[in-house]
Amino acid sequence: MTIENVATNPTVAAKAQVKKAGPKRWGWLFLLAPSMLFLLVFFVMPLLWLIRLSLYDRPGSASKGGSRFYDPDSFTFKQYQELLTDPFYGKIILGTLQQAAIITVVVMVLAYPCAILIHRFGPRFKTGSLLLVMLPKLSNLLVLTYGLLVMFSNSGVINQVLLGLGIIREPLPMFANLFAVVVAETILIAPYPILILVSLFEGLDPALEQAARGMGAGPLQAFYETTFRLTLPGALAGAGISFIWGFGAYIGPVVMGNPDNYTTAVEVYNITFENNNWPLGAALAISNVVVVLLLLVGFGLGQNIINQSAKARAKAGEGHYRARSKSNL
Amino acid sequence: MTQNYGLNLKALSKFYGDTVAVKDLSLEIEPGEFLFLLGPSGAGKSTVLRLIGGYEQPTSGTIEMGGRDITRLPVEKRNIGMVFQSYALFPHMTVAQNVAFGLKMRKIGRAELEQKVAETLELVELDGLGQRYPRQLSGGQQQRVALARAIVYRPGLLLLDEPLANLDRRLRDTMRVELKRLQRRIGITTVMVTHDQEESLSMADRVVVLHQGQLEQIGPPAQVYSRPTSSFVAAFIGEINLLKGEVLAVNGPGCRVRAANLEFEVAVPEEEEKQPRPGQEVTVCLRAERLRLSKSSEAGFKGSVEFVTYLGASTLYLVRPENSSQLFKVLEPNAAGQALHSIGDQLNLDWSLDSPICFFGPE
Repeated sequence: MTIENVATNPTVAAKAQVKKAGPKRWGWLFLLAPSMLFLLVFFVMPLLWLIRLSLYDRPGSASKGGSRFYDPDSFTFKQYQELLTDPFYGKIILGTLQQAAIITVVVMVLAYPCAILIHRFGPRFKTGSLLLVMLPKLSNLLVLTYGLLVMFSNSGVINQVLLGLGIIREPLPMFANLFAVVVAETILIAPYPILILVSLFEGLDPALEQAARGMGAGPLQAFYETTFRLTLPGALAGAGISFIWGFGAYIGPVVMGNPDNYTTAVEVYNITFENNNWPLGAALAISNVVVVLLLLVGFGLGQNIINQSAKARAKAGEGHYRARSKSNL
Repeated sequence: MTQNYGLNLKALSKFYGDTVAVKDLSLEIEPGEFLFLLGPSGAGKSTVLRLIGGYEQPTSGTIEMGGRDITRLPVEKRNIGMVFQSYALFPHMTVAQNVAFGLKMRKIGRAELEQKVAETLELVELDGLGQRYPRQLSGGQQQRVALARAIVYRPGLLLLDEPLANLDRRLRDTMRVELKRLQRRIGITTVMVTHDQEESLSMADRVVVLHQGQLEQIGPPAQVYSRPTSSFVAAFIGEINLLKGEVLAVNGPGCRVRAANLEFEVAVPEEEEKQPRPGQEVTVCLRAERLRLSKSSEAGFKGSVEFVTYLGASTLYLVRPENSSQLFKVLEPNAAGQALHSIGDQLNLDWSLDSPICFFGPE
């Protein structure tokens, strides 16, 4: 068969193409196999088991042997019923959401300017400062939070110094409260949005802001119209990540907080291991996952709406331009 | 149309630490002029543009625009239009929004703004593409958006930083003509930076050649090309043969020179202070297109062709004369029906007496 024949005969050409594309298209799946297997065994299966666990009843006094954590013969929505009817759990979830919102705001207010600063540093400072940002993530979680405790407690370094200098008469309440929890979680969470934002800033053409200045925008306005607007989607993504981390906070509330600051994660631990109520703990854990998923969906929808409306606005404006340019002719 | 400004740079210098970017540059730019800053990379031409635009502050010296000192004026108050090499189009805005930006900053009312945007898009032949985003446009279209965005608010001065560098050759040639015509049409004072000497020769009213942050020569393209004031300028613009040598004897309107182991006559400059003396160093610049190759003639030097580069309309030969280490670049037009010389051909290399441009004294 000549080359022309292949080219002019569409089915032959198509077949040849499919044959060629076949192994290429699916070959990359093998690269995914190890990680998929890992996720399946160590994430999906435990999660499914957790769902099943949440649908058991507690072992009653009547139950004969079996597990001491749950009644293996039962299938009930009792645990979820309890979560929905007892206002205690609703309050905990709402409180956790609220605390996560506060943490997110504080994290983003610190992360955005910090990322700008790192971005504008020279190459030598940039590496050093990025390392500093990563430092909390490189050190042990517990050591870090206990270190904060040493700083913040009533007999801690800060209060002792301020008392000694006579600036304050009573120790400042910097421990076992919301402030302490937010500080601890901010230190743990902030590196993520900072890294995201720095890479976003690095990807921007510095001439954009200069161009805006050239066209008559002041420094702040030029920053807002270019850098800020262009990094806003990334900043929102960073905020979303921070919120999810804040919602799942555990160490901060346990070490630095009081029971008012306990998150659902802490309560899951308490219910499961302190009260020995595994099914209820599992149900709360699953509810936690559902709330996060709902948040993610809501977040995605919100971003979509923002994008769509921006496009719609651009189109509406353009319609105007076109109408005018036609009428000018 | 707003008034066009002239520009006056007075003893402008810019240092970065110990590094000299621009040194003692004085320059007057006429209203409506198309001025080119030409030089190799690192010559300071972009720095000059950024100083004029206000993106950098000069270490010393002043900048006047339309008779007003703007040296300390921030960028946004200078009323300039700037086109960046990367275009710096706003990716999150449509073409129309990009073009409207400068008008919005000037608080122009909606009706007038839309009319001006439409007019300007028509001027750069982008009407109908206003609702596209920059990433949906070709390189040439993006370049025109950048231009439209810079001229829509009728700035007093247009600054172009290598605006054609990112276009492919054919498009670049087209855009040269378009840019020049557009500049003529709106009559805006324009300063353009380029390292492309051909570009500057074809478009400029006047060319400024910069070398290591200093002004080498300023003048119309033809003058800079035919009467360079230094061997740097001569070598930078066009294909040239640079020969270092010494003056053997001076006899009236000509003098005898030895360079590259060859002896020949060159014309002596008319200026009194530039008269050569025997024994003096000399730099001889010979333009490749002013040299002639012939098989029959007895004049000039015998040499052999060592390399041939066919360029279509012309051919570039590398010719080495006997007893000389110098390879001469010779550019010959390709006449119809005439065979090209080939490598190894023994030919006569010749030039007319007024062809060499000579710089006497140590350079």
